[in-house]
Amino acid sequence: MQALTDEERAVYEWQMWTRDFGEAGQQALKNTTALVSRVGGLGGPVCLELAAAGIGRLIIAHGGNLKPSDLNRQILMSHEHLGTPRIEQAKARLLALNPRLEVSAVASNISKENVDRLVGEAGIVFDCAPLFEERFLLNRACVTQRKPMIDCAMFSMEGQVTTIVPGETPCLQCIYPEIPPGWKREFPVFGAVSCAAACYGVMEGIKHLSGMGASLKGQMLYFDMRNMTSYRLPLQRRPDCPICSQLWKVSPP
Amino acid sequence: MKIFINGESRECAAQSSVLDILQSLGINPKTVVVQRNEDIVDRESFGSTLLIDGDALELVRFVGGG
Repeated sequence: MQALTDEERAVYEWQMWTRDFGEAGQQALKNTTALVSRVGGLGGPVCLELAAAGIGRLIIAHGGNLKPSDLNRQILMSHEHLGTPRIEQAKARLLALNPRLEVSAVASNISKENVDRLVGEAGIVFDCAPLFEERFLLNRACVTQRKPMIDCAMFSMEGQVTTIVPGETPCLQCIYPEIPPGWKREFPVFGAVSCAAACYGVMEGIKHLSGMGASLKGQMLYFDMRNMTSYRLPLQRRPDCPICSQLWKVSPP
Repeated sequence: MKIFINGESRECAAQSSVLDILQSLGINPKTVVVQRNEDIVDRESFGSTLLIDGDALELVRFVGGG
């Protein structure tokens, strides 16, 4: 495991003061590769906070060019780059914040063709995709490869976050057995709501990697910013889950 | 009888099932997780799970925005 440099100690000093995190936690972040699916309203702030916190390497995957309707929430982007690839803007912004970061930019979304390889390169996965097809692909690959996945999602004023550890917790398809009918690619979104879900997700990842605090393993944090309520919902695995039930036969809960 | 849905009280007919409540709210049962008094209700049991006075339901909609 690579040790911290003096420069890194200077940058991360204030967060290393956090109880139960310290230099060991910082070193764990430095030596981790995180895969983030998409760099939009949710994945953008996930990447930004992971970069700020000192993650060692980010693999970011997002296809397409920046559109005007992205700019209310995609905070890695800038107005002057409308019409140009999102992924290049994301990479440049992240490296401007943290030049020690290694960024592997994939100019396409998570797909059947790339999911196994990209998950294989990562120590932890942040699922921030707006489509269930993409979320399910990541979930399946994480379960198969036994990689932890932080699942972050939002809609309108609501957000949801859970930490999935294959073999220990229910997987995404235990929670959502099928693609919810009527889910559309375009949905109401405030940037501050997706950013809140992102920040909860990042802290779940940092806690998982450093062993600090109590995580959302097996629980879903749900919040509604319309009336500022939140609660934790216990999640149950489905014994007949087509994705993860095999794991439970090997290692029962 | 009186039940609580996401913390708010609501009147409903005696012998109402979870499915009855979802239908009265216009919610597709395939799009929510239902928790009754802190236990998750199996989706297959929505119709046969009858509520009693004072039950607390938490309804969490599936969302996938990114």
